This record gives sequence, C-alpha cells and structure tokens, in this order.
Amino acid sequence: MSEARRNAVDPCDRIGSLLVGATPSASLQEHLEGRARLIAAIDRLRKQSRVRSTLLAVGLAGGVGAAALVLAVRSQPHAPIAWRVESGDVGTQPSGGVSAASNSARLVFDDGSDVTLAPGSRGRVAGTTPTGAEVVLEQGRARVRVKHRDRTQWMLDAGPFALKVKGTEFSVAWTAESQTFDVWMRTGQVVVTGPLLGDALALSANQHVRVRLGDGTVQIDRASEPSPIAPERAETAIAAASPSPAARLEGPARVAPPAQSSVQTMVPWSKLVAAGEFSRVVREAEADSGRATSSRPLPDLRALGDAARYEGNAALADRAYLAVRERFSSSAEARAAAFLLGRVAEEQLHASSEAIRWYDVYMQEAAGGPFAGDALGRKMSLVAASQGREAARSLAAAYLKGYPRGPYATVARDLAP
Amino acid sequence: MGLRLQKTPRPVEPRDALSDADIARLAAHRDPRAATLVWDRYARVVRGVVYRTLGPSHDIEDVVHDVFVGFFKSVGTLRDPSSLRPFLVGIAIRTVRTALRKRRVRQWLRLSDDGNLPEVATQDADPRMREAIRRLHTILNELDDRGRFAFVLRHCEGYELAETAAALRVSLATVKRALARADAHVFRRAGEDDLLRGWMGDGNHE
Repeated sequence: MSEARRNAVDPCDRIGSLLVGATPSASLQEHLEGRARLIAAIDRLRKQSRVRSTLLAVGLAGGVGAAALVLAVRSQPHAPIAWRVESGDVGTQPSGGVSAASNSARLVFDDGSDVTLAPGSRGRVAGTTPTGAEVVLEQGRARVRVKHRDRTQWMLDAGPFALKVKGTEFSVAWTAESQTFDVWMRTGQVVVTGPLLGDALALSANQHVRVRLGDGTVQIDRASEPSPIAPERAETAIAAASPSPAARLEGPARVAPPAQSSVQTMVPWSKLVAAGEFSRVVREAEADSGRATSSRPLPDLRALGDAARYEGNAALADRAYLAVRERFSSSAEARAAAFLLGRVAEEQLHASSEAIRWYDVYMQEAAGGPFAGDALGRKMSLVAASQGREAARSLAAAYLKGYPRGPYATVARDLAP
Repeated sequence: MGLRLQKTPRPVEPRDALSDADIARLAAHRDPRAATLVWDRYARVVRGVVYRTLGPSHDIEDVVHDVFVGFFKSVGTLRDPSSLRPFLVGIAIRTVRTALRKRRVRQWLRLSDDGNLPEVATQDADPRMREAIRRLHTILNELDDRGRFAFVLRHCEGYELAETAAALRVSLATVKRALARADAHVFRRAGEDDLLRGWMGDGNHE
C-alpha cells in the first residue's frame, strides 16, 4: 500500500488502507483462466442471442415476405431469373415446393445454375432476382452448382443455416429429425451462417462441415460426400415449369451482407485466440489433418495449444504444446509449454502424476519463470491430495520461502504452519 | 434467415492506446476483442472491490466472473462510454449485494456459511496482520449493505462522496448519513480491538 495512504489522517482511511493492502492479487494463471472463462461465457451469450435473433427473423421474414409478394405482384419486377423443374413433383408440397421421390429432381435456372435434390428430399425456390435466387432445402440433400457472374447473389437455406454463394459447386444436407447440417465443398467458396458457427464460416474447396445442434458440435474436415448426387445434364429436361408470380421476389434485401471472412484461414491463430475465437482455431487445426503442428509458426502453435485447452480438447492441446517443445526447444514458449502440459494433465486428464512430472520439468527449465510459483503451488496441492499432507510439507515450506505472498501461501501455511 | 448487418468499430491499435470509451464501444458492438480488453484492464479493480466488500470467501472468482458477464449483458445501457470504470464498479456493487443476500439465505437455512469467516488469504505473511484483517471483516459484516459499500468505496477505493452516491444510486444526503453511521461503527469497534486500535494510530475521529 502507498505510504500516503498509511499516513492518512482519518483513521477510517487507515482502516481502508489496511484492507487495500491485504487484498490478495490473482496469479498470472488465475488471471488468464478467468479471462478464458469470461470469453467462453460471452461466446455463449452471443450464440444464445443469435438463436433468438434467428427465431425473430423467421417471424419477421414471414411478414416481410408477404409484404414483398404484394409489392412484387403490383410492380412486376423486371427479369428475375426464370427456373424450371426436371423430373420432380412440383407444387405437391404444402409450401408449393419440389420433392424428389424415388429419383432425383433437378431445378434448372436461366443463369446457368442448377440444384439437384437427392431422392426423398424436399426443397423450394423462395424467390429469384435478376442476379440470383433463394432456394430452401426443407429436408434431405441437394447438390448445388451456381454459375458465377458479376453481382451473383445466391442464397441457400437449410434449417436454421444460410449459405451465401457466389459461384461454386457443393452439396448440402439438412436432417430436421437429428438436427444435423452438412456441407461438402467441391469448388469455390461459400459462407455459412447459423448456430454454433460464430459470425460466419467460410468454406473452400474440398472442405466438409458437419454441425450437430443436438450435441452442440461443429466438425470441419475433408470428408467426402457419401453416395454423391449425380449431376444431371440440362439437356435431359423432361419437364418444365415457369416460375409462378408468387415465387418471384425482387430486391437484394433478402441477401446477406458481403462476407467478411472469405480469407479466414489466413488469419494467424494467435490473433484469433486474442479475439477469443478458440473454437474456430480448433476447427481449422482439425481440418488441417495434423499438418498444423508440423508447419505452423511458433505463435500459432502456442495459440493452438491455448485454444484447444480452453475448448477442453486435451489431445489437441497436448499435440500443440509438444510440438512447441520439439520444434522450438530453446524458446521461452517451449518452457511455458511444459507448465501448460501440466495444466492439461491436471485439469482435463486428471492425471496427477503426469501433471507433477510436467511441473517439475518447468521448474527445472525455468526456475525464475513467470509460472514458477504456480508450478510449485500446483505441485504442492497435488502432492497433498494424492500423497498426504506430510508429503507436501517440504513443498509448502519451499513455497512460503519463495512466494510468501503468493496465491498458494494460505494453503502452504496450512500444510507447514 | 437471420441476416446481420452489424457494424463494428474500426480496430484501434495498440491495445494500450484504447481508451475506456473505445473498449466500451467494442463491447457494445459485441466485438470479440472486448472481453479480453476489459478483463485485462479491470479484473484487478473489480476483484479488489469484490474482495473488500464481500470479505474472504470461496466464491470471489465466481462473483468477479458474474460482474463481467453482467457488464456484457448491460453494456448497451451505458450512456457515457468513458464511464466504463464507474459502470463496472456499480455492477460489482450490485453483484456483491446479491451474493450477500444469498449468503444470508444460506446462513438462515443453515446450508453453509455458518457466519465464521473462512481462512483469510492476504498479501501479508504476518499472522498478526492476517488476524487483524479477519477481525476487520467481522466488523464490516456488522454493517448494513449500504454502509459497508459506502465505507469501502470511500475509504478503500478513494471515491468522493458524490461518486459514492452515484455508485450506490442514492442521494448525496443518504450516502452521507450511511457513511457517518458506518464510520462511527467501524471506529468504535476497531477502537475496542487491540490489534486494530494500533493500526488506526492516533488519528482523531468524530
């Protein structure tokens, strides 16, 4: 406490200074863990808010859609993209959509794009504009090919997810029963928005994302689409249907704002972790099939370890920290990684002896390092819990000698009064 | 579908150059950097206020966490972004008040918190000092909430009377009365205590 406060005239100010001076400060580790906990909580808040917004938007969209349809009928918008259906049932669905029974159904658009519904799937064209269309996959799987043109504005909705498309080829699946959403990319890029995906998720060629709303998981990999839908040739059209006036919808307001993250994979992980985007870092690393740990620079590896630790992915955290120690063995991060490997072992793997071993490694390599007090304090606590108070007594004495005001001092005094 | 046209303030670097108002605006716009920035700048301050008003407790970190979560839930109501610090302290006061109520309910139901303070963790290794702090918290526990908060804000955080009144959302006259009662009680009880009397020294109190 400051001398000025000690010398305060008011005895209550002196009492106040006593309290201020006695307030224990958090260790670096506690500070970092508190921060990670806050970031995770804010992320949960953001996702909850997004779900509420989505529900509200669905309700609003109904009203806006109805109003827009009235305007569309009155003003007869100029030249929206026309479309027709091949080999599917048209208008038999309550929504006026398209269903594919035993064979696939293909929707062909004048701009050269097409959407093929797999057998058993249902979809509909929510509207078209001069520059694109909005297609809804109500259930099942669809293969989508969008012809890239200037100002192409294509949207595809599947359950609570929306894909913004410029010019690309991919398959998408939505199963309402299991609340599972899949995208298998072939070429180009799409930007996906929806639950569990953060602000937006950019997918590029050969990537696959699976989102399970039921268990709240997002998986990004390079898995192939099971039994791909065969694209049919436009020339094989056996039926055609003009777009009904009710299906037309003019105006770009239905189209998502420009994607801000089409180069997401280029963002350094260290920056993403600083921004709290732990899950995205983990997703990108897992989509990289393990190459990340052998090729990424040191700051990104350390960031990956932290992100995986905060996300509870102990295996990935271990791989990242071990890669730091192996590839950058003389760095300060390599020494810190030993302590963090101990934290992973203790907190997530509940492996006390492994944790103690890593804390020992850290204390040997970095006796005066920033985590030295934490390493000794954690080891003392683990030894007391696993081997008894007597075994921890010498550690407690060592802790009190080195860190008499440290965050574990209270525990240490209890062990070695 | 949910379309979001969300404007985000342009990044300002480096982070140390960010003002409180910048951070508050980032938080209001749900910028993902905001949690890190506000935590790094104010975790120590909030932890201090929470510890000094709540006293030694096993749930200090939980309460601190709740303060910051509460901040992100209510940052949209912050009219003056430059008032980030008093806004946070105000949330801390309300969060501690809730924690104190819960503590009293638990005591009443005899579920836990039997009224004995837990082991006091302090910065000081001196056992006499630890005991002094424990006794001081016991005295603060005898105050009502308003008096306790007023005492801590005024004598620990260095708040002016007007700032204390604003943080407690009461009038200046009310805070003056609350503080006078709290000061008199602490002065009298500490004066009866050998350890605390020594700390207060020869200062006169009225």
